[in-house]
Amino acid sequence: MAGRVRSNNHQDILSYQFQLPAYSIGSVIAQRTQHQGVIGQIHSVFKHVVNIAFLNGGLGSIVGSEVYRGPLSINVEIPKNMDMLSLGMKNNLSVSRVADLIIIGESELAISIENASLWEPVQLYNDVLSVSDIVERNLMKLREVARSYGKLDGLGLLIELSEDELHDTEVATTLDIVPRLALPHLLNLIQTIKTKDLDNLPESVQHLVGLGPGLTPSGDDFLIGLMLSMLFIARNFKLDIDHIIDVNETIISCIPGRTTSISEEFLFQAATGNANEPILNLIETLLTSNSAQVERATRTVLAIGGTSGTDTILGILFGSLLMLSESTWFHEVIKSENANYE
Amino acid sequence: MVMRILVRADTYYDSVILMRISNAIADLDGILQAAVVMATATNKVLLENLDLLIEEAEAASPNDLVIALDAKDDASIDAALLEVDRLLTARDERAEGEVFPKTLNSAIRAMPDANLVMISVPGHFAAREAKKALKRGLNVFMFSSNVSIEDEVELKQLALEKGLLMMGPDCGTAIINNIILGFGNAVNPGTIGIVAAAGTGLQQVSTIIHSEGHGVSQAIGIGGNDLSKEVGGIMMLEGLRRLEQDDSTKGIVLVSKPPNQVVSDKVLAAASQSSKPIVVNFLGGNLDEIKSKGCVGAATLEDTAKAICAIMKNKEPLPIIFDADHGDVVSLAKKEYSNFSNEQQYVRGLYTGGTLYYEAMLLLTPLLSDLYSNAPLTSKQKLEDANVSVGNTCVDLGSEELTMGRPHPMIDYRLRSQRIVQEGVISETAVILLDVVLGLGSHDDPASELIPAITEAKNEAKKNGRYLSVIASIVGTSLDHQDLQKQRDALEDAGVIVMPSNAQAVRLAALIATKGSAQDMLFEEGL
Amino acid sequence: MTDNQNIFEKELKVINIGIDTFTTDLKTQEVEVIHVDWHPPAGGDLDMLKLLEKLQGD
Repeated sequence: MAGRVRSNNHQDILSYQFQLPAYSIGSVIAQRTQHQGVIGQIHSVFKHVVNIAFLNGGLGSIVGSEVYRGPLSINVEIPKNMDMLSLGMKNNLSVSRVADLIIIGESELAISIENASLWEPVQLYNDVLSVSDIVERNLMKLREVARSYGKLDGLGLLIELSEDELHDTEVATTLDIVPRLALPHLLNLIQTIKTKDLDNLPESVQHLVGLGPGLTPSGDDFLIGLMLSMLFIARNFKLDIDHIIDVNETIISCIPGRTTSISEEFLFQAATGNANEPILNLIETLLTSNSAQVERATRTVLAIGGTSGTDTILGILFGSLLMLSESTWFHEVIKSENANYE
Repeated sequence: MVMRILVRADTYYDSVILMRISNAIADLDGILQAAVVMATATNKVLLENLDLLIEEAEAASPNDLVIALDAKDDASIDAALLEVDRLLTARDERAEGEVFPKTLNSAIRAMPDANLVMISVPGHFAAREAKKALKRGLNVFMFSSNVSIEDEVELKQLALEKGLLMMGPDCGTAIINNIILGFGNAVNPGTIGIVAAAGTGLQQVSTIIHSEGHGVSQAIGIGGNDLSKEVGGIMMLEGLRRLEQDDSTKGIVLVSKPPNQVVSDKVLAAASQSSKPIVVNFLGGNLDEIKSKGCVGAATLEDTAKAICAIMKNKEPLPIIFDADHGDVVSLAKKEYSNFSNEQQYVRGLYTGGTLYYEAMLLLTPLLSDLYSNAPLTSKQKLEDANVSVGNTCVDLGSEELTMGRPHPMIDYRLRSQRIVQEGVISETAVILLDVVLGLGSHDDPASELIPAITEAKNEAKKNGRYLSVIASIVGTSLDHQDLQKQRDALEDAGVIVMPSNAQAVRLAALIATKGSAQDMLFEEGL
Repeated sequence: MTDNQNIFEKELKVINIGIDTFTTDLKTQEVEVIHVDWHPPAGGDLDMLKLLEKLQGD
């Protein structure tokens, strides 16, 4: 936990209340913290997470070791029995970069990123990609596990519904308010994406962003899952990637001002395929692994704070099914890919 | 119908807390409708739909938290808002105005007649603080682990020189002058003294001593490494010496995992010289060897406790297999396994207490084949992934690798609850075996955490044509704050078979999982 | 400094450094206890600490 700051001036022995080594730094936050000097301030403090608002825009987080890695996170080992609060973290403390240290406040906390490994999401799975039948089976496992273990306070109830039930207006009236309000717009959104009707897309999105409980509202988590899964499937199965990029860009153009700043950041990141490790890992297992792995990965995501995991999974489910149902086209592509290997 | 809206501007609470608040409020008396959401445009629509939107909420922005309540009357709202505040500020529990010294020295200034220092700071620093304390003439109880063996030796030798007790490092439990230090169960004061290098071992022994109608004079914890070669049993010997000299102590128990041979000889030599009855439990140690050195040995924690109690009453110690009539036990087991599907065959032991887990491994090894674990007795048996069971599996959920960054499983039951459900889904799982440890430092209501998971697991099994057997033992007394009887009743109502001790629970589990074929080994060879 | 050998005969008076639930539990048992609001000394820097100790003739 402790260490001496290495500085060019030997007379300088800077001492900090706490000095911690970071073992991982996400690709996006690495970029945002690259300049020396004051770079931002503490935006919010939680038990295992501290968020930073950067002067040049955007957010990032310093997280304790029980929190997963991600593009926006710097992961540090916090000593047992301590957390962000006992480390002295408070809102509005300044955040600076000095040599290889990220320094919080005047001297409250120094984080050494010297030995942190750069974490970048893997977006192309190449050789290990599964055929679409297996992907479909994995999606069913995803749904089954989410139904059993998901938290249903957000949009989770929708996971339970079959294709027919989703379109049944009577069933809709039995739903809790959040899924009830979301459902018609959710279905519209899927429709506009399918029919490439980008002009009508914003309206559906606007009714979903910021909707529901949680610091990252349920609707946002759904959109995150949706954007990520569409992007990853399009990229890996070589479907209409340009269309999906357009879709994601249109979605995030509707975001500013409509949700919390933290959620905004996550949505922006998801549009380009950046997300936390558990979520990316889940998508990877869906596209490359067997159902036991999918189950494990799903349960890890479900354990993410509150309803976030469940709502994100709903988005992944819808996004994946959307892409897979892209007619025979999808199946043809896979068949021809496999033919090349025969 | 009274409505009130609370807006917390620019406030960030994580989703888990928000959900917790939401659920807590909804359950309160008199609350008709509640919403705890960030004030985004769409959530305002939501509030409108719930008839909860009023001016203040309308003016709020997406980074503001809105707590909207609709209740029967003002009193309900007030109560709810108090509860919200309580949940939101729950972290900060220190009384206002209390000033805390920041160093040991200033604490000693504030309390000059202090005689014990409890240390639970990170390993690096724990040794320093302990040294300071011993030099200032204070006894030490050290909960911290991750202290080097060299430091431990130095500290214990220093303590010995100064005539002080060094309990630890890595000591979770002690009872000194009837005060529980660290974790521990409320037991009757009495005449039996204990020296233990095994936390939950001390707990199991002390609670059974209590239920046998006896009591504890002193229970000295010495930390997990005391009987290693390097440390040489310094505090075990010192503890033994003190209990010898203590007038209130009339019988002595020594508990530890198998010590280094040289250390074992030293300890047994000292124990055999004792004028007071002593029972030695080296958890899996060689009972014949212990006897040959002139001491009374016991194979299980339960037998240890019962042995000392018997000796104190001038009776012959009798090892127990089961308290109940063996015929009844066999029938009970049959009832459980008769509903198994063909695939069901494995025991999954999910333990929070390290010593209890160790005892389970010792007892299961001769009874079950293919026994795996995350901290096994031999390297052949090691699980590749502690989170995934293979064959018969026993897991110590309190071990270093599984507790990294999380609270200990005796306090935080989430990991174990998830694991219970996980095991229940697997078709080969026949029996789930659990320890439930009560007392200070443990969860306030373990049953309330376990029962939903157990119920879910059992239902899942039932849906798939299986029967999941769940066996548990509770380490606790009627004096513990968790209400032992209530815990037992609740677990039994949920279909759990609660056995009087860890050893008996383990044996029953093996009997059931092997569909009775372990019977011979159990009853004939008295394992 | 009182003679703390043979603590068995004395009323426990405890200084707790670290986890605050230990302090709470002792208070529940009506034991006199002082809680130390511990922070790593010298900003957590072990090298610095050793220097300080040398100076203080520890």
